[in-house]
Amino acid sequence: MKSREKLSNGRLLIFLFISFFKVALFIVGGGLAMIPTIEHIFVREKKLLKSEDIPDMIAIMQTMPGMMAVNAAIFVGHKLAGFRGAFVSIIGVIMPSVIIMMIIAVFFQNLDIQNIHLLRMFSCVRACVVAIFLGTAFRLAKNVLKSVFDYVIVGSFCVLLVCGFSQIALILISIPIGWSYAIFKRLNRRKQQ
Amino acid sequence: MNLILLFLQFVKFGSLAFGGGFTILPLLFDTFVNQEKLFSADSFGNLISISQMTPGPVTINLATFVGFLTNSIPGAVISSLGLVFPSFIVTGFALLLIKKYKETWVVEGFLKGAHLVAFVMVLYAIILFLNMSILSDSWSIQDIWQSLIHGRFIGPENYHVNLLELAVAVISFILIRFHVPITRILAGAAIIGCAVSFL
Repeated sequence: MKSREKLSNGRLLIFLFISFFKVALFIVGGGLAMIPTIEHIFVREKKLLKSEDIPDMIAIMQTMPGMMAVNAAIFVGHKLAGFRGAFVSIIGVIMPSVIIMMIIAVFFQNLDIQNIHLLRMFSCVRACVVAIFLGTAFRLAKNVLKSVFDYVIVGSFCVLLVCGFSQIALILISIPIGWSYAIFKRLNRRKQQ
Repeated sequence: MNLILLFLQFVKFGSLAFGGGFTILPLLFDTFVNQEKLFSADSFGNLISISQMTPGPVTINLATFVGFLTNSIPGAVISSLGLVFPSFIVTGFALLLIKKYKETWVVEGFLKGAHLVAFVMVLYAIILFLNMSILSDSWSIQDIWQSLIHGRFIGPENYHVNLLELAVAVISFILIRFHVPITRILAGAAIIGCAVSFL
């Protein structure tokens, strides 16, 4: 097991760059697809992050301005190697896009993809992403769903989403709910003392 | 278009994208189709689907393409850097603050609420990707809800389940349980999809 201390600073930066380059290659159809890959590389393979960090990362991805993939890269990079790490991770995450899209821009000026092989390939990758997400949901449940309160809130959020509530509205609602939870917890603790 | 202008324009887009890049797609459409007339509405639609299918964050792909069309290679690099610049500044400092005030109720409550939404979003993403792969036509959550209420199957017309994708999903789930590296599973799925399309 490689620990964080054993990697020297320069090696860590190079590792961050290469990892996010790899992660970005497998983002197909939206930034959420990168969560399982990040979890796999940073939590289970290299043990640089703890599994409790993953919900934190998703929270940052969604509440901060900018693309989710970029915010995830900043979170991991910043946590492991400060601002320099964040910078290197961002470059890693946008590099594949820039290269691939430039090639596409040269060859597909008329912007009309009807290639069956490509379409089928991407659809299979997305099917695989479904399976990967199921695994992520199971693992996240252990860290997020701890009390009856959590189940109630998650359940009602799901119902709201089904009823056509916007995601941004949900994010905005969740913050006061979290605050009232934290205040309530502190009041309870004070009462017990 | 001036490179500095291009950079500033994408800085603006980047700082307006809350909750993921998808939220600024209408804004991009308005800017590049209606105002600057860089694309027709149809080719912009195609550009979005290409950006979705190619690896990488969707909006970055889009920005690269637009930048390349206006200013070739420097344009492509500058526009995607512009798009990520606000995130770098804002998220970077927010992370510093969160680290410093971790014990206060403001940060603890914020993270608690955001964690709960995060879990809901993962569930939502499962449905989203299901629609784009295993199910042939795009289903809204409302369709599933309606099916549950009425106790029978309600969906878009001409729906069918793609058996190949279903098999890929099931096999990948089993492989994940056996701790096969995810990047390898994804690469395998890509190869299988490409190979089957030639049959």
